[in-house]
Amino acid sequence: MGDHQTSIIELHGVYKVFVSGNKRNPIAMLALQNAEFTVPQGEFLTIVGPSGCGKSTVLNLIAGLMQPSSGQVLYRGGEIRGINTQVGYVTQDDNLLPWRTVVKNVEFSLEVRGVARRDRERLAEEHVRQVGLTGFEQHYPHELSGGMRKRVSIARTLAYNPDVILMDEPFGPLDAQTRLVLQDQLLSLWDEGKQTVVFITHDLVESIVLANRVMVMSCSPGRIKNIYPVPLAHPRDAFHIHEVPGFDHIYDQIWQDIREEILAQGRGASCASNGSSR
Amino acid sequence: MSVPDFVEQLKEAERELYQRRARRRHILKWTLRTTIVAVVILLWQFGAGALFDEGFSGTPSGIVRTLVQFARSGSLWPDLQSTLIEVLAGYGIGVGAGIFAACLLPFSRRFYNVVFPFIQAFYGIPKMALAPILVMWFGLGIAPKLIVASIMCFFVVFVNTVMGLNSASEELLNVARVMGASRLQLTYRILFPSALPYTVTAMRVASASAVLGAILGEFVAAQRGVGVLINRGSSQLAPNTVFAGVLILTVLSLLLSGLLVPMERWIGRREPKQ
Repeated sequence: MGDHQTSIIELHGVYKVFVSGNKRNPIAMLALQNAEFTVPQGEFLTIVGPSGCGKSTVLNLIAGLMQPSSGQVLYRGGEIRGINTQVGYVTQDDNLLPWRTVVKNVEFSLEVRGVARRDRERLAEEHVRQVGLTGFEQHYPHELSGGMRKRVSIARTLAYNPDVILMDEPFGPLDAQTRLVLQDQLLSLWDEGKQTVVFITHDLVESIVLANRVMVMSCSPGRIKNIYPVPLAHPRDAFHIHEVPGFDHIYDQIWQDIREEILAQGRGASCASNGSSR
Repeated sequence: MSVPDFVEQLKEAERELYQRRARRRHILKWTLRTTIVAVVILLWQFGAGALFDEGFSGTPSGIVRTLVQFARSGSLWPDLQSTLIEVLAGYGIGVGAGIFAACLLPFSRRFYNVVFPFIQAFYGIPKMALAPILVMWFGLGIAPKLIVASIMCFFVVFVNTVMGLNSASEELLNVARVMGASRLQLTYRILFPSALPYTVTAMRVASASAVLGAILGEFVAAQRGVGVLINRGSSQLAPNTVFAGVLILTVLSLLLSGLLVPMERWIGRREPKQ
C-alpha cells in the first residue's frame, strides 16, 4: 500500500479501560494501551494475537459500539459519534435470524436501511449467488451447514456495500477445509470489491494469506506490538500459499513475535485476567 | 443394471422402509393409548363394587348417565356457560394484557427495572389467596373468577414473553445496530420475533391456568359454574357428579391448548431448536 492513499480509519493514542465487578469494589482493567495505527482505503488488515489482548475492542471502537477512554478514533477524518453505520460487522457467531430464510436474512440489512423492496430482492439474490448459495434461498439457517451459514452472514454484510468490513474471527468455528474454501472466496470477493477489511484471527497462516498488512498485538495490557507488510502478490491462492516465495520468511518473522507473547503468557502475564485493579 | 438405476432402486426401497416404519410406530402409539384408556375404564367400571366402594369411586357409565341427565334437565347449561365465560374471557384478557405489558418492556427498560420487585412479589402470591378478597369486592358473580383466571394467565404469559424478549443475544443486536437498525426496528424485527416461541408456549400453559383460576374462584363462592357442580357433588357424596365436572374441565382445557398446536408446529418448522 502506498502512502498516497487516504486513510479511512485512524486510531491516535487510544486507551480503553473496562470496569467490571460489583459497585463496592469495581475492578478497572486496561484493555487497550496507546493504540496508534491507520488503515488506508482498500487495505486488508489482519490482527493476530493471543485471546484477550484487545483485538475485539479495536473493532468495537471502529464500529462505534464503544467509546475510547482516551485518544481519538477517526473514520474518514471525523471522530466517530454513536454507532458507525458506514461499516459492516461479521462476528464469529453467524448471528442469523433463525425465523428468516436465507434470502430474507440477506435482505435484513437492506430492510433496516430502507432499501425499496424490488432493489432489495434483486440485491439479495445477487449476493446469495455471489457467495455460492444459489438453490438455498428458501432454506432456514438450521437447515444449513456452519460454512453455509457463515456465507449468508457475509452476503448479508456485502449486500449493503459498506466501505469497511470488520470481521471478528469469522472462520473460527469452521473446520479446516471449509475455512480454506471461505478464505479463498473472501480473497476473490476482496479482489473484486476492494473494500477495506479489518479481520481478526488467531490463525497465523490465515492472517498472512488474506492480508496486505498483519498487525500483531500483545497482552496485559493489550497493545500493538508490530505491523508487518505482506509482500505477496495478488491475486492469491489460499490453497497454495505455502509454495509462494517469501511466505516462509514473513511467517517466521511473525511467529517469532507471537512466540514471545505465548511465552510471556506462560510466565504468568495472563491476558484475560485482571490488569491493574488498584 | 446401470449404477444410477440401482441407486434409484435403493433410494425407493429405503424410502418405503422408512415410511413403513413410521406408519408402524404411529399405529403402535395409538393402539397403546387406546388400550390404556380402555383398561382404566374397564377396571373402573367393573372394579367398582368389587375392588372398591362404588359410593366413593363412581363408575364411567354412571358419569355418562349423570352428564346426559344434567344435559336433558337443562341444569348443566347455566353452570357450563358461567365457567366457559370465566375461562375464555379470563384467558383472553390475561393473555392479551400479558403480551401487551411485556411488549412495553423494550420501550421502558428503566421503568421495568424499578417495578420488577413488585411484579416478582405479586407473582409469588398464591392466587387462591386473592379469591376471597375479590369475592368480597365483586360479589358472587362471574367477575371475581374471571379476574383470578386472567391474573394467572397474565403472569404466565408476561414472565415468559419477557424472557423471550431478553433471549436475543447482545451481539446480534449490535450487528444489527451497525447495519443501521433503529431501536424501533430492533424491537419489531428482532426482539418480538425472538419472543414469539416463548409466548406461544406460555399461551398453552396459560390455557390450563385459566381453567384452574376460574374453578378456584368458584370454589370460594359462587352461584353457578362447573366448580359449583363439583362442590355440590362432593357435599352430596355423589362421585359421578364430581367426575362429570372434572371431565368437562379436562375437555375444555384440552380444546383451549389444542387451538395453539398449529401455531407451535409453524414455529417449530422454522426453529426446531425450541
